[in-house]
Amino acid sequence: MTAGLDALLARVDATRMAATVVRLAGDVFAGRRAGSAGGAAARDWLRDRLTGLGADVGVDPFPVRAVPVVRASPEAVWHDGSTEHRPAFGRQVLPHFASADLPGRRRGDLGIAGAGDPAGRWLLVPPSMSLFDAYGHGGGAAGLLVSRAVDADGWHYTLLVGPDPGPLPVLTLDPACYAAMSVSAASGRGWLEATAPIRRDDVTAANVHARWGNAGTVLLTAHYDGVGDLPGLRQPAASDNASGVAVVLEAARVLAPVLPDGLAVALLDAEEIGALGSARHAGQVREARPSVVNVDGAGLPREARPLVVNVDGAGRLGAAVAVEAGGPAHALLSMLDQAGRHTGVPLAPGPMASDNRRYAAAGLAAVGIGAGMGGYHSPADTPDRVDSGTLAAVCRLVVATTWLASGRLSSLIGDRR
Amino acid sequence: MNDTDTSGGFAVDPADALTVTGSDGCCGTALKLPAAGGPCCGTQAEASAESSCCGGAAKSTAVAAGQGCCG
Repeated sequence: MTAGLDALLARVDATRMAATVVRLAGDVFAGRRAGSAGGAAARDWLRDRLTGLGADVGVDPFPVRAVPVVRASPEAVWHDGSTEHRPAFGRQVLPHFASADLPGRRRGDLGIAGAGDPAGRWLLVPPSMSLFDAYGHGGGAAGLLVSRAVDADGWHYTLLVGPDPGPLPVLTLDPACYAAMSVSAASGRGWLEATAPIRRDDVTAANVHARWGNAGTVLLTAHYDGVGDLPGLRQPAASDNASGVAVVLEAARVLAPVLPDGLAVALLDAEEIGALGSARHAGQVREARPSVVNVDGAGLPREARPLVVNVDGAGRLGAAVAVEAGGPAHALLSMLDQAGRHTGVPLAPGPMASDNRRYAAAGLAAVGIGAGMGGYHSPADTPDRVDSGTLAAVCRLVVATTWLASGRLSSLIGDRR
Repeated sequence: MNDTDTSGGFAVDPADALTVTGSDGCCGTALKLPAAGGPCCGTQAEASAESSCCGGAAKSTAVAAGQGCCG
């Protein structure tokens, strides 16, 4: 019964996917932040790849406002009263995305937000205090200092989404540096001299759309943008999300020639800036949906199309692939479950805060699946941390799910657990 | 990878994936955090303290465990 599907699954090529990850994470595409030259180069390459797979390909540009860009390494020196310290950029200190631009050095004594005179001081923001509340305590301050956890490799992770910049420079510190500065601030002997060179760029991002035939029942999506490089620090964005793009491209390569009704793919931009690419595309899909109820070969009302499968992170499968569903996705979840059983891929409900949420919010059946990331949003997100076995497992899961959803099999029930 | 595989699929009701805890918060701006939903990673207080859509430590843990957290 499943011979056709098993033949397809056998065609999934992990080596090809690994090569895609290496290519997308390479220097030519330099972090792939939305609006960057590297992002545009990656988009051109992906368009050509999809065209080479026989798809009808289009590019849909859209504006994105105020993307935070750290434009130089911050210069930071602090003194604890007896010793001078120079925090390492990326590991111990990083401009906060809500920071005001501070291109020149500013020196001030260390203080605690909410305690004492803030004038001229760099204020450490207590963990229980929000940044917005700290602004209220920071009149005349030199700037704010916020503690944030670093990853297992000791890197700060880069964030591009958040509120508009506030009135003060803000630096993010690793917990150890924050604790040491807090001791000095309490003693009244410490000072900091620092810059916070950050700007906001209004840019043009672009989604890449591909369709084969009538676009089929399933829309496969993955975001191709990354958080971008920092000055002197490459952030390859291999797991997040070159791996997801590699899975979608490979699934399309395997599936497109054998699905009579075709297939659709969207490679999305600006996920790292708040899932803006999918927000745009989800609205387009919603508007294009047919208003007439019909039933297709998979037993799905045509108005239920497309079923959206989003892949964000296929780098390192642990106990199970995380799955979050939204919209009218019961049938899609059943297919995903059957596909997981057939391919031997364990699944578990878990948060997938990615582009799938935009499609679900638009009323579409959508699942987000993720299988781990190494070095999330940091210089440690390198291709060597992307496991080929994970790429293969997630791709097989996607292929089997799409095969079911496309009506090529009515069910895989009968698989024995 | 075949009909006799015993390890794949959901070990719980697949519909549980429709009600993932704290699934309303991320992929927008921190200013749009829902009052009742909470962030996708960590607590509202942690996210608020970092002016982020997620708590940082919880976010790192979640991502390392294979879950997703954008932005």
